[in-house]
Amino acid sequence: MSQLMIKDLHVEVEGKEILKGIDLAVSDHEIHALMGPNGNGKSTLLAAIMGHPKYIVTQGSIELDGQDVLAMSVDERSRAGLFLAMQYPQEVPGVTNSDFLRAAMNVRREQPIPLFTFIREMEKTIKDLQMKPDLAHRFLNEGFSGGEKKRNEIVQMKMLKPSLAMLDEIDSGLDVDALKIVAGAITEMRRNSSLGLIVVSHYERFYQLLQPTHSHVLINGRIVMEGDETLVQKIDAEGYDWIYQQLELTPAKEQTRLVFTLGSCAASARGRKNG
Amino acid sequence: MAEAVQVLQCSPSLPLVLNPQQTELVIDSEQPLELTLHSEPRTRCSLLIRIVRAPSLSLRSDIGAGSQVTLLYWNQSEEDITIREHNEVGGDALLKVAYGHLSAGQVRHHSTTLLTQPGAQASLHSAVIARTVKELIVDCVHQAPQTEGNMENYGIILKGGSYRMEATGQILRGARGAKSHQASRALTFDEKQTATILPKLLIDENEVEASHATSLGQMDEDQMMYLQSRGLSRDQAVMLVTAGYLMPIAQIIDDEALQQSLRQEIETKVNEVCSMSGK
Repeated sequence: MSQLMIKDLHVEVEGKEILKGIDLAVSDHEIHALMGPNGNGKSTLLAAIMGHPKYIVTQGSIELDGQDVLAMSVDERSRAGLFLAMQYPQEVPGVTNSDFLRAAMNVRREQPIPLFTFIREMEKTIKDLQMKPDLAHRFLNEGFSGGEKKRNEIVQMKMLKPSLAMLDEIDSGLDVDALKIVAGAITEMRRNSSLGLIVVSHYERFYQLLQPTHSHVLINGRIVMEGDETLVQKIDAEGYDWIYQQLELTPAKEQTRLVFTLGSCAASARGRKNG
Repeated sequence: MAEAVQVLQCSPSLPLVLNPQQTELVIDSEQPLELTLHSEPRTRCSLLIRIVRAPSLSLRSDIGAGSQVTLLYWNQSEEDITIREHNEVGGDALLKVAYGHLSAGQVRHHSTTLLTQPGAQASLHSAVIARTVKELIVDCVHQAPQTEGNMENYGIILKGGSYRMEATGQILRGARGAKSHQASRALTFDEKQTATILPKLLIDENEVEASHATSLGQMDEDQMMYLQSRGLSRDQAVMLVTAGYLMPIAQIIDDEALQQSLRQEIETKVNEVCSMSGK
């Protein structure tokens, strides 16, 4: 039984506190919809769980199956079973998808994956996501359309088989057909594994296809409301105003989106003060 | 019939005629060496030229009309070397030339390619590891209409290394419909390294296409984060990105066994680079 347990998580970015005490537990087979207006901390939460060095955990804990996630480097978190499908996947010229994925699969195994097993698996996954067959030989995300980049994140997720995956607006940039393909691939993966998911999306359509088991609303750095799929539907129909009114919250000023460039020396730091 | 592999220890008196059976040429000469490669019209061949030893090289290739020729100059010499290279490409012919300068010696390499007839195409690709001085000048001159030149130059600069890449696409008057594109990327492992990239486009005709793209700097930390988030350690991520600068050059050669052996050589070099850089 795999479980991600987050307790009283506080996270700051460049000295500004973004998350102000998050509690969240995600177990096998569960799908958690994470909603909230822009600029309230959804992406920050996912990036902090993955260990992005710009997101500094100042208080609280994250555990995966009882292991202290905050003590792990980014790559250790990945190997422990976490996966973040990114909102803005990086382009890495010169590195082919297949070289990258083989290397990423091999670090999870005692023995390197036999070449033909890898090729078979990659070809099947590419087909499942209905991507062009030359994907394996193309450089990682270079020259990909927005939709192709998002689908390639799901290709990686399927190949790496995490126990808990986080999807950060993976549906943005996908057309209606691609949305169905991606949702279908995730559903198939869930059928064949105990994958747990945290899904950030602004669109009910995606949630409708995935059918979340839990839902959470994140406002001003806190989870202010929780429920099931019906909460997703209500927000889709009515927006967030009723939540602000019901809980007597004041909307935070719309912020410029926090997209960071790491610079040249941050990546070896771990996403935690005193860590 | 020609041998698949031929070794040259001195300048041949006659031009060497390219043919598909010959896949590899080894240059191992104590003296300066001059070499002319000639392709008859409509020749298709792919030749790996290993430079084991030669203080200086004067290279010339004449690519006949309708030919498709690939030449990979693979410099294995640890000594300093000066190379002057001149290529002429005929009508509707395609010349692909790649230079791999991954060894420790200093290199001064001046390459000029003339696209002399309509429909001539050249693809020029270099991969360099600079531990000492590596200076490359690559010129591609469009003399005729509907010619196409593509240049891709990649460099990795290590401590104590100096890299200079001057890439010029020149479209002469009358070369209507010519296309000249180039991309240069240099990766440095230290803040105090010298790398100079001079991309130039000299255009004297209308109705042409021309572009250049250049990047120069240290390892991109966002890329590192992305690769690490998939389980690769930082060392593994650095090696993968570094190999990405050099590996594409091996793909230019058709012969799969040769390609595989070049890939292994590149991997060995990348391991050396990454251990030397302390990353």
